[in-house]
Amino acid sequence: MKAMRAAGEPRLGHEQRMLVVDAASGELSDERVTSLAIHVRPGDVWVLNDSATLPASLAGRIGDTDVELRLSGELSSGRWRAVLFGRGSWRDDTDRRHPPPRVSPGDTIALGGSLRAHVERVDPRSARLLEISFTPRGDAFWRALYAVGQPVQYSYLLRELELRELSTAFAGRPWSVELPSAGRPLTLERLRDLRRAGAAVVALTHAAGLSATGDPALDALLPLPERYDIPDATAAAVMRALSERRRVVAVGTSVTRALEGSFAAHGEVRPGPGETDLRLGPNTLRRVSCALFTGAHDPSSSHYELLRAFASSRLLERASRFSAEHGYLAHELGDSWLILA
Amino acid sequence: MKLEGKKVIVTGASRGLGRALSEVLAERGAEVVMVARRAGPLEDAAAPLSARGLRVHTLAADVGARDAGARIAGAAHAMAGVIDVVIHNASTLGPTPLAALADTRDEDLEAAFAVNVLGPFRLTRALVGGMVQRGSGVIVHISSDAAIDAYPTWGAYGASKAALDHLSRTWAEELRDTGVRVVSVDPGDMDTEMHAAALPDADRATLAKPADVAEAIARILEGDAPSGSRVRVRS
Repeated sequence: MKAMRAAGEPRLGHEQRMLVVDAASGELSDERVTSLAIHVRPGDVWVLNDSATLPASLAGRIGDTDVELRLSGELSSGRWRAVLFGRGSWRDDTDRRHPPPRVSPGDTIALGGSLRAHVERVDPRSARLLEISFTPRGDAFWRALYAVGQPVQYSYLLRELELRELSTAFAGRPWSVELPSAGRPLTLERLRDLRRAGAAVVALTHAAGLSATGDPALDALLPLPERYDIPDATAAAVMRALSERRRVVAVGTSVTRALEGSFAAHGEVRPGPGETDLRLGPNTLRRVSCALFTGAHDPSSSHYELLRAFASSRLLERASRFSAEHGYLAHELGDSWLILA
Repeated sequence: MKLEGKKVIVTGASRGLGRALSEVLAERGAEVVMVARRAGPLEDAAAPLSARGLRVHTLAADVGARDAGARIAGAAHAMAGVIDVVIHNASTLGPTPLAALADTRDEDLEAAFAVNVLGPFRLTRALVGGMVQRGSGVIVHISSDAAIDAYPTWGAYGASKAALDHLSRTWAEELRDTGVRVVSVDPGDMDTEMHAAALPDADRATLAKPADVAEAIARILEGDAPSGSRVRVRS
């Protein structure tokens, strides 16, 4: 099957395409994101992930060896889960990067400036999955991270992107180690369109994790547990919509994980912080979200499996084929799919 | 708006009005992220405030750098939490003594616009979407009378401040009915290092104290200056 090409630079504005995938009728409709609001039903609740993207890629050295440390998620203040990569740059496919040197608890990774990562634990499932603590801590940690960290890049990019380009228009607290990319096409103008069409647009914060680790065994475990925070107003809007049988539309699989994860744990979408290890897939019982606005993804990507929570493999394959044949661009910076389940 | 508990970014916070604003706002219960180019003077400005138990954070960054908006916004959110207010106070005069336009290099004009116009634009862009989503936020641009009146040798600075005022009004128009307020404040002539660099012979007794101007700006924040307005501080 012909694969979609990756977007090597961010698709912008009016060039942003949108395939509407109707799971009930099996129909596909080739549109632009500028017409997103025609799909709003008054009373819809659209849920965004307002997490900003961290400069989560850190160049470092262990002894004489160059490494890259990618943050995966914050465990507690100053302590993080992280993935170690060997020599090479973002231009190399993560699967072809040199393996990282073996590290043990007590080892230190020098990361530029005063920033250092201290290995606390090596995960038994993958030698490159680490629990680390940083020095310095507190504000000094954040200053150092923002001074030397770069956003995680992708091997299909035409040029290295800056943090501002790997951000959504409505980003707040920086919790995600990669861009929560589904929301990238949603400019303030698009969000205004949604509201004018009668939707409530609310947000939660979900710490989107790494999309690739270069270790097949570790990739198979993705996504790792991720934390989220659901504001009172968002939880209330979602629960009210459910009780009144109005639609909840998730912008991105990270939002789906937070909403469905919270419901699975509590029997409701509960306000406040939480963590979820929910893995979306064909067997996911969706109890909150009935539509998904997401990036266009190939069947080969890990993301694709998650979409099966919303549509059958057969329909998704047709959507992929249609997208490839009609010049859609895939991955984080590409075109969009709106899956109406 | 009540300043108690609000999270505020102040740029140009190591000296002059920015330093005074950081102090006045923190005294009123705000949590302030102080931003300035050089870490040393910034820490010197923040240390006495922290020592008094005021809640301040420091972040060394050059607002004129292209990726600065996203980086300042991200680090500020990480340190202080969701940002409610940004005060774009950092600005540059360019080389002093000030020169007539005919003697101004285009690099100097570019630098003035990078810090005085593009810097605030980028940082606002990185913050405003979240403010709109939450339905509240305040954006303050520190302007100058040089934005209105044309003074010989103040061309680069004045043109950049006029552009900043225009950005301020345009943001306000575009953010109508979102709950986000945008105002421009002309602080008047103050007794600061910047003023001394521009007009070394000025009679300092005639110049306003930054602390008094900062108090006036705090009252503007607490009051209800309409979005899109340009407020002159009289002290």
